[in-house]
Amino acid sequence: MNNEIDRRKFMRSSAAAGAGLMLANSALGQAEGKKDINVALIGAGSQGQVLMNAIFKLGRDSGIKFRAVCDIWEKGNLRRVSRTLNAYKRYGHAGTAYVDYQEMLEKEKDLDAVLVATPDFWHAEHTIACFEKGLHVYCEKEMSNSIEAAKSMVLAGRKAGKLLQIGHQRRSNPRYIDCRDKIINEANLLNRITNISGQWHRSREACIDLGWPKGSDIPQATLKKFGFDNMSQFRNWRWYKGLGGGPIVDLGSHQIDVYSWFLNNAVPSSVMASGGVDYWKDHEWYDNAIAIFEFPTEKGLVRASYETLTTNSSNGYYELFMGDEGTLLISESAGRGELYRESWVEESKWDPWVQKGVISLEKASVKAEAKAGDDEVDVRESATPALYRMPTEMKVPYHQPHLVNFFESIRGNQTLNCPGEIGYETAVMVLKVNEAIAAGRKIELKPEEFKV
Amino acid sequence: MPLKPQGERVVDTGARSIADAHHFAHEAMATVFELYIVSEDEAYARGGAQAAFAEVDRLELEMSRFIENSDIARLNSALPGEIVEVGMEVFDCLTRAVEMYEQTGGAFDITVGALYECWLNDDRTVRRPSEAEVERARELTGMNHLKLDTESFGVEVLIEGLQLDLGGIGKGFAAEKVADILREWSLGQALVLAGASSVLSVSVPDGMSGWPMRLRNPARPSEILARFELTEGALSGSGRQKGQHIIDPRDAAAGPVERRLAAWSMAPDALAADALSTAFMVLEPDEIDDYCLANPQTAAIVLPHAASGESQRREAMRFGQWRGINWESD
Repeated sequence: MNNEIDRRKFMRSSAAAGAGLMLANSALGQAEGKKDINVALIGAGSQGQVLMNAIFKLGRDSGIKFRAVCDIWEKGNLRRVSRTLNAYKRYGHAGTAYVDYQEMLEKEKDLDAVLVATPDFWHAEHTIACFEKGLHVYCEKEMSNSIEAAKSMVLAGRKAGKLLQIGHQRRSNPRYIDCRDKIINEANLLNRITNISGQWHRSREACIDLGWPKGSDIPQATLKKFGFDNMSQFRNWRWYKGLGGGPIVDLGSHQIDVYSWFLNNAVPSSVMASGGVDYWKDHEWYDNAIAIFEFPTEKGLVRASYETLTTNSSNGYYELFMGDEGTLLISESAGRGELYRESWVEESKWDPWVQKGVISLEKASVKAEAKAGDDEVDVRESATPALYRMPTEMKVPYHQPHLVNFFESIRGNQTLNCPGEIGYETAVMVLKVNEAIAAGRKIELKPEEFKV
Repeated sequence: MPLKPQGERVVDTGARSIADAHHFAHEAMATVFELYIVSEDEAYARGGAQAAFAEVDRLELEMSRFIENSDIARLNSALPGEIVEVGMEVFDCLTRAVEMYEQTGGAFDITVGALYECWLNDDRTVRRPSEAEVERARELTGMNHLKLDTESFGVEVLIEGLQLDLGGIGKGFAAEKVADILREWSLGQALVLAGASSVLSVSVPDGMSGWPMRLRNPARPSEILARFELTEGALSGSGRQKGQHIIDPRDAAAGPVERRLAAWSMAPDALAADALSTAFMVLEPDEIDDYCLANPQTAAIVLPHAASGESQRREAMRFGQWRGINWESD
């Protein structure tokens, strides 16, 4: 219990320190003179709204001003975000609403950047149209549903000389950054990473098709114009070939991106995978997928598995990094993170990192001990590894630091944490999983396949 | 504070027996949300329920004090002088929490956590705090420590260490948002149950006079204190399980009090009903009477604590619209 109190005190003081740091940062930004950045949102569905709300929570002095929003679902998404923007009028946001993105880009003359949160098959077209207007782009993952289209986005950004940030938001999450920079790289607590596993499992309940309120249908002509057969396909585009990529792309992409990032942006030399339309029979994409990658690294080969299910939510989502001296479990899910020292590794080896505040000891290793006076060693239970935590907290909305990184890069104060070139590497890794399932064999990957 | 029991239903509904009422359930906010929707089209009703539950999940991420980047967790670790930008919904919920705090003279207070921590051990047994500890907890209690900027969605805590907990009203607030979505889906003939303690009638189904309700004695669940039909508005119940303690936020020095076994309230909206059932656990009968007289659409039943630990139906006190109704003849 004392440990628990100490930990709480510790968490509280680190939270306070974090808050102070945030104040210092924003004061710094203001001192340098924050240039206003005018933004528009294309694609105002649930993910677009997440991005928008994360920006609102930067406050009225963030210098980020919404000028317009665009969505083809007038009586759904567009109505909802227009209402929200109206509530934030006092923050200097304007809510000009558009159904057609081309009309928006034509009419809105003072934009600096666009957030693209449309279905995957639209990303390339929307992103490239923005680059042609000289705008910076924050584009949600998956970068595209096709490798070629993803490549064309990077090339268009280079040609325009504009920034392209891909929405792998964990790359700007302070908990993830500290795991990578401090625990894995600086302290080397896992030593040689040999295996990685990870998952994102959702319940059947969470995966039933989305509906829509009566009377809110998009006119059939509009649906057709924007590439959808009908309203149900519009609402559930993630399951359709040619539109999305299924759960491995929707969810796996975030985590497979972390695999590579934590291995200092290593790319795999092969992928094999299995999956199928086994449960949700009216869907086109695989409703469950299991993939195995081989990552050659300087320290040796890392074999990494990934699994996503749509019928059972057991254990939710996380990434697990296994080294020969320790284990790191990390998840974007609030506060979920564990670090284990293999029981043969001396505690004194990890102690200095506890002293430095990089990690905190939660539960010491329990070792089998011989009782004094016994003739023989009485092994009652096997040793359990010591449990540590990472004290860094994520105290802001999940997508906010990644958006801030994008805006500060536009202002010239930072560099992108996930530029198009990195997003492309992840897109190749993830889209190759679907290819491997379809091919039914191991696919070899060459380093040049990841280059634009 | 866990005034709302999770296991025991203090409010129960007979909606299960209504033909054509489709039932949907979803785990969120450390409880189970249930919907009864009367509709000819079950698949369509399921779509509406799914949209409503998705909104509850989204709200939980903003409102839970256990989620480290929720608006409430951000406020709970904020320092005076720091403006925390919260979402529209949390701002609305806090504004209404302040209203209920003022209307109940501080008997409903989302900052009461400091007092519970002062007077109870981790295992919920009563501890003897020092005078200094009580004083510190008193300092940390009160919604006057919260400054809501009406020109923005910025909130400032005015004292370091203030701990907010929307547990007492969050479910009622979410139930109202669920009702909004069901109306948007033209699924208004619906009943929302937010856990075992909060019920909101979106509207009464055609051909019915109201949603059948039962209030149970939490000490002896087989004893039904009241049966009636909920037509509009919300109903909420707070009950005290054996060994559970309640603290009057208005009286820091008193420590755990045993005034009530349970309290139920009816109000036009679910947030108010939630806040009132919590407040009625500590308010004096004449104070409850005054409240219900000043707010004609409210009603209450309060079950006092008995020396035996088990109050009986005849001991229940009734207020507002429910005053004078002879439930026992039911």
